[in-house]
Amino acid sequence: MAKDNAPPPLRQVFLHLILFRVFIPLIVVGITAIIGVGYLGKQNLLNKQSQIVRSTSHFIENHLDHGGRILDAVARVAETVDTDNLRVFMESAWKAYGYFETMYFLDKNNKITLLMPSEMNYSGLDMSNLPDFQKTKEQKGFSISRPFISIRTGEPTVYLVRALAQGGSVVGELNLGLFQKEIEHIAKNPGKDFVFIMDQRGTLLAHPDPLLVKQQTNLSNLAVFQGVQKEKPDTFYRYDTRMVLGQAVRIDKTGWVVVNQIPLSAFLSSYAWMFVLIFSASLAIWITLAWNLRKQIQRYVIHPLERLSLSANALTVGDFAPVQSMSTIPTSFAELHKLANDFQTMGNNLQARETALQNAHDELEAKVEERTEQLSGINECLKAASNSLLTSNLELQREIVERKRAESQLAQKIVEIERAHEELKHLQSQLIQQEKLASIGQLAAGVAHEINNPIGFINSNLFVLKRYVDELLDLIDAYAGSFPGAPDQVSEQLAHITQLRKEIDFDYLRQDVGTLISESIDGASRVKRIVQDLRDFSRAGSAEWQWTDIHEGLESTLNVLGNELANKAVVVREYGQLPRVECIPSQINQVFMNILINAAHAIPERGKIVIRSGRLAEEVWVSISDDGKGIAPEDMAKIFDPFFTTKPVGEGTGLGLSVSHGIIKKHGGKLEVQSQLGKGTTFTIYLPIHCSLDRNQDSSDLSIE
Amino acid sequence: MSIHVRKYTQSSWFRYALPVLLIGMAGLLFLSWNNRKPIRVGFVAQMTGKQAELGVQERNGVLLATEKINAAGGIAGRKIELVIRDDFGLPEKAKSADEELIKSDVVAIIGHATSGQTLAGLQISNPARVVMLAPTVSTPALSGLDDYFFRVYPTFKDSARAFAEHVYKTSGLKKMAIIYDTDNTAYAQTYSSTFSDRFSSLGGAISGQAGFSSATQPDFSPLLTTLHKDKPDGLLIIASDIDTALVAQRVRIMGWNIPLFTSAWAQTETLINHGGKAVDGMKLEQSFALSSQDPLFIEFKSNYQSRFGNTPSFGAAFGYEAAMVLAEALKKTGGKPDKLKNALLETGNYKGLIDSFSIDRFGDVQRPFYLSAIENGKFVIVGKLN
Repeated sequence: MAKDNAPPPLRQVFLHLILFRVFIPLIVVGITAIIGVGYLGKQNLLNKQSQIVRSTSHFIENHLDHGGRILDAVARVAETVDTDNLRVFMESAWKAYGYFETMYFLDKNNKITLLMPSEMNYSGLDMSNLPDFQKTKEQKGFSISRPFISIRTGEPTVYLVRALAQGGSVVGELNLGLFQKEIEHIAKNPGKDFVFIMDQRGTLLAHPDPLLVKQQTNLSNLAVFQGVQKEKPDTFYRYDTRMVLGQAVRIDKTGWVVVNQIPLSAFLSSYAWMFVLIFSASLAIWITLAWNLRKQIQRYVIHPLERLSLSANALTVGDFAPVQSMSTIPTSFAELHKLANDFQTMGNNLQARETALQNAHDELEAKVEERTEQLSGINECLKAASNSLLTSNLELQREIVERKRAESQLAQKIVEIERAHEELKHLQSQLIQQEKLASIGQLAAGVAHEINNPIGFINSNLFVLKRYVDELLDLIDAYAGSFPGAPDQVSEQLAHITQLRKEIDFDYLRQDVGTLISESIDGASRVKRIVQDLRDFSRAGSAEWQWTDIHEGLESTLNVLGNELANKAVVVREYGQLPRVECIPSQINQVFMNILINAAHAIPERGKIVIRSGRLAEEVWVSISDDGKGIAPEDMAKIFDPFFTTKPVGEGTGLGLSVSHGIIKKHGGKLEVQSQLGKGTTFTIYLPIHCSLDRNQDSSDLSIE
Repeated sequence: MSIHVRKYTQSSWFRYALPVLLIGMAGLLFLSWNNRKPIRVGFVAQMTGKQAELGVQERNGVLLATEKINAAGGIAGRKIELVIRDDFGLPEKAKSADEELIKSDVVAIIGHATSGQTLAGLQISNPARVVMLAPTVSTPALSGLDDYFFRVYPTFKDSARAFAEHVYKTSGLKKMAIIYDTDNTAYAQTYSSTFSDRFSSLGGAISGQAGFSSATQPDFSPLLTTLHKDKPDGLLIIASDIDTALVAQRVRIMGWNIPLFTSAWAQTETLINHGGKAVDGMKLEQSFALSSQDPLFIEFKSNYQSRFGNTPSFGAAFGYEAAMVLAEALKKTGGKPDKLKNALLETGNYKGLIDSFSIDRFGDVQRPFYLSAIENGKFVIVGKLN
């Protein structure tokens, strides 16, 4: 509620002042201007209308004068010549001017004597009762009848009548259509102003709507018509439901009235523009003024006041800087100037007092400092003693650090020795395995060599034997079929032979001998192949780096394992495309064998071993998966350790995987294992295609020769 | 400063005063402009051409009445707006004019001026149930019909007979020739036969009849020469004002000095203006007591004179009466066209310009008719015929 009583900001006060002291006067001035402009606009419009009605009335006057002159010419002739000559003249005048619709020559009884164009229907008619005819007799010059419908044409018409000296008259019938054309010419723009002409009684002589003229409409009720009779030419009045502004002029000679009339709406529409213009101009002025004043007030009053207020605030916290800049505040009026001055004086006085206080304070400070210095001297001495103690302490600390370092070096040495020992142990296991393999290899090579020779000639002899047996059998057949000699002997012999044949079951023999030989050939071939494979596997003298087909090595290993695998698992080969790989084939084959044997052992009854291979950039890989019992997670870390085995005592040495790992490492490859307990194990061997390791050293190490 | 401030904040209502004032003014203007809609009344007659005078007179009479009614505040607070159409004296145009008027939502139509056009126009207005009130139509063909047609002029059935009686008895003429306009058969032929029947029944003879079409602008000489051969005692012209004037002039030009008679149709200023001396002495029957001294009639004549600058003829007077009768009926219906017919039928003992009259159940009136003549270029009343 207290807020309601707070005075509004100065800005608002000034805005109110501007609104009520500037805007409303401006509006008043604007409205006055509008009224003024409206009056001027009306005057201007009236001037324009006045011009139009005047020019129209002049036109009509001229027109009628022209008609009068024609009539005059005809009348003068009529006064001097006889009827026949007059007829000729009248006809030529009527035709030449084309001004009158009809021309009449009336005798003194107002009967039509001559008529142009001559129509017998009308000649001789008595025209004496026509309105405005009688009185024209007395007038000099011509007179004009009121409008009426022509007896001849049925059109709205007026007569121009010129009395003759000897009695009778010349009459011209003027079609009002002539004026019609003239006012239609003026009233070009419909919906705006137009002109119409009335006779002295208000009957239309010409109007943009020609039907109104033909219908002899009388507009004497219009205020403009009544006004012009009272010398008041311009009036606002209602015309056909619309308000209009009309101006009229009366043609003196005929008493006709020419009116120019404009709908008020047309007049107001131009006026409305003016109104909008003035209103928006005053609004613009007001806004500019308000904006400008606001800016000025902001600069000269509000801003200095705000700075004064700021300075006062600063004073309360003891900041005298704004007081010093007080003189820079623009003071545009005396009161503000005095206020600023007073404020500055006050500030200065306060500052002087503040300075005195400060000085006293400073002195006190100096004394405190002096005392402090004395104290610090004593402090120095104490510090020196403390320093010497610190130094000796430091030395002791350094010594401890050194001892600690020596200790740690010793521990490191021990670790190194342990590692070397481990390596030695590893090497030793490899050597044992290699030695074992080498001896197997030598044995195998020796056996193979010894078997190879006899099996070779058994094999070839069996081929020859088979051929011989076939030939012998053919020969027997030939004998049996074509035996010449005495029939009785023959039959005896034949019976003997037949007997013999039955005894030895020749047919069966004949069948079986081939089979036997074939089986023997097959067996010999198998022995030959096994021997070959044994040789290939041991490959004496092949512990050298060679470009090797890995698939060949796999196949020979599988052959060597032969039955051991066949009893346990189906081997599925999913080989990819492999290039030749630079390796020591016997060692790689040994790795395959170790893994395959482990796979076979892992399978409890029957299972499946899948061998996959492929190339990965500059490496080839071979994976061997079994669906056996898998490796327990706790054993996973130990499988490559030498002498670790899960097999019963006597079955495994625990060196297979350790050695394989070593071989692959020496080849620059790696051996990975994935296993799931109960589901199977996959070993994957990665070998670089081109081995970049130092071979000499390695090959000597791993030589199995 | 603070005193000022309080003043301004309190008078901030003033900010709204200006727009409120402006809107209020605009609203008032709107209301005054949007005053009640005027009652539209149609007027239709021939107002152009040679035979226009009757229609023009009727239009002026109706206009005078309308202006008088509107000046007195209109009907039920509403002004009368006259919608004026021209039938050009042609039956087809009469129909289309009536159609236009009905489309313009007129409550009633005043018109037409002549019987022919009225018969045509009724084919439109009767089916549309729009009241047509004719000021000067007198054909007996429309008598005794219960429809939407009304009139303030009596049928000529009785007046034509009385006219025949007058010619035979008072004027003592035994042999009549008749010339009539075939363009307005509904009037002219019926009038001719009504007159002839009565004249013959009295013992008179019709020596000859001749018809002409006004539209063809005929030469009357041959027709008149034929009629002249039978040496009739009098000539009855049944035609419009202009044609009657021309026939009369032609008769006199021929040097035929025969008494002339004409029907009410021709009784306009045009007859005198264009008839010249030829129409002097012509006799006619009509229902317009132009020398009446009734103050209403005198006031009407002076009003008409000052409004239109000439003296009113019978057309103007009956046009005026028709408009007044219609206004009276509209006052009863509150300006609405519903039950306007009933309201008109209730018109009884209405004080017209000259006499009082009642509308019978067929929309017809019985009014006195007079014998008048033209003397020195003026209509004069010779006597009452009934």
